[in-house]
Amino acid sequence: MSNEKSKEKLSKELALKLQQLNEKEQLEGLIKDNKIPFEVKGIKYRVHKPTNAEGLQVRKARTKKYIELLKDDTYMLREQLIDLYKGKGVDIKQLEEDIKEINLQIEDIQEKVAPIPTESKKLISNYEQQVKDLIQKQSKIAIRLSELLEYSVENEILEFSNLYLIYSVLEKEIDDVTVEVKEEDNYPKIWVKCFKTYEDFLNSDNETLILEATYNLSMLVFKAKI
Amino acid sequence: MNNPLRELARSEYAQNMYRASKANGIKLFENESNLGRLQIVYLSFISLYDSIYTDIASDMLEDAVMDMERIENDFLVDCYLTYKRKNRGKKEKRKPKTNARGIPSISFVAPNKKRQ
Repeated sequence: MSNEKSKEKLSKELALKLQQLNEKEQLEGLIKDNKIPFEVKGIKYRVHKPTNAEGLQVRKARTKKYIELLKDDTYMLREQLIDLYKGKGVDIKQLEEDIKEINLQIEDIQEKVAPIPTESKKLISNYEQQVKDLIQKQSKIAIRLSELLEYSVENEILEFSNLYLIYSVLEKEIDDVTVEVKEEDNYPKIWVKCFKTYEDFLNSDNETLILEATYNLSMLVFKAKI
Repeated sequence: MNNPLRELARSEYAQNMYRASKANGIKLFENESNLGRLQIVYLSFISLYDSIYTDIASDMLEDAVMDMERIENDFLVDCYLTYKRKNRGKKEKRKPKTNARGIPSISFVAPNKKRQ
């Protein structure tokens, strides 16, 4: 479980890495197909968008985990956690409302800016800064919300699904030694699943590999927290 | 700072490829189906910028300013889109009903029903 947690932390670093993605050429490479190759310590790896069969496999594993967590009294459902926080003076629903309210404030500013002539650079820049400040304020609330609800069953399931998905679609390139080749020739390359079992994946100490795989997979699939 | 994916989507190259794909079925990606997350976001941005370029070209902008300079700025594009979305209904309501084409209106009445 501790290994699983350390990988959760790695997946959180994604946001930072996404900010670093600023090369158009790199982007073009990422969007050309549904496979993203990358290299870690001289070994070639890749992730691909999950097939229907892989998606089904993740779903099955997630359902199993969900039932397991429901039976475990140490985990609480999101709504239970919200009630518990309310008793301690933390209003989750209010925090969610605050996020929506900030969205409305941002839209009001945007609506004001649209008809302002481009020449009024200072005025536009002031409004832009106001929007940036509001987005920052909103992010802080979102982070606090995410931290408060981190240990809900729903969040555990989401984290588990993300990790299981990475395990399912992570491949590495190896020599195909089953093919007979002349002595001077190299073996042809093939892609095989990187980890034989989910336990092997969890026990891996190659954190760079997991971080790269998480980051690249996030480009291919929609997941709330991946 | 502008979003690099948006920059790519509004580029002349991407817009030309998009139009060619709509007109002649030219492939934008190596995979034709089962699009990935970035591909979907990229396509939505291309389509979004295509509509803004169309707005600029067709001079449909009224008081919300958008031009070839402002389209380069993500913040101003977002402002324009919010303005357009929030004011769409209002403008339609304000628009007087005209019969500029001079085509008479026709109402169809079922043969067994009397016109009221």
